[in-house]
Amino acid sequence: MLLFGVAGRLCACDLNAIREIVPARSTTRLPGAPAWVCGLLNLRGTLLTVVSLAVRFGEEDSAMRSIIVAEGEGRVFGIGVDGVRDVQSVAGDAFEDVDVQRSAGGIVRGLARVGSARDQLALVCDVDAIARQALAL
Amino acid sequence: MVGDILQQAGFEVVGEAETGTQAVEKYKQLRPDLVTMDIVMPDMGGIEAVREITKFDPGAKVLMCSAMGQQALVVEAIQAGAKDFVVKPFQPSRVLEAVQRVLG
Repeated sequence: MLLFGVAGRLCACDLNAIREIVPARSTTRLPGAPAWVCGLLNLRGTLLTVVSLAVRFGEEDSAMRSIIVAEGEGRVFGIGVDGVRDVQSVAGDAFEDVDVQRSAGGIVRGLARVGSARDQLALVCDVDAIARQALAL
Repeated sequence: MVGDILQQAGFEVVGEAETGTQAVEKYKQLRPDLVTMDIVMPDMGGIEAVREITKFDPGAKVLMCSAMGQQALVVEAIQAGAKDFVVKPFQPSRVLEAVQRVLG
């Protein structure tokens, strides 16, 4: 899994959904888009929608330093994060037994204990769910 | 209950709050190293209180205390900025383990 920070929270997502990570850069705002949709980014000639997970988590702004270029629901888009921390394999028993059906927004599919001593709790994000919500699929 | 476990382990409890609003006020006043917060609290709920505390201090260390059956809310609390959680009934060893994890 790829571990990254969002407004002081540790998050994770499936590494297979990640294409690349690029430094944050300015985006062109889309009129009428939800607040957490930052706008469009021209990445080597390809236009990507970029979202801010910090804003999705209820923060007013964020120190977005990296954009994770991910593929969800067959679409490529950007996830703005504070920074990428690490890549770790996460064993099945590291996932906490929590019911996420009622969790806010539905973009988090669980919690996992990560780190060499499993001493940190990460929000496991669902890239497909982020794509569905951000791109209104 | 959590306060007793922490005190017996040598931690100092600098303040206690009965509602979410009080918790936020006390945090601003006392700036503790760690907050243990019930998910369900009168007035402002625990999750909203975490949101307010982390908005005030992004480095705040909040440990959520959840009852069985409130696990769905735990995810929301972590999303709101809490660092970890423990589930009632509290076992001292589990509480202290979680506290050490959060304090790093």
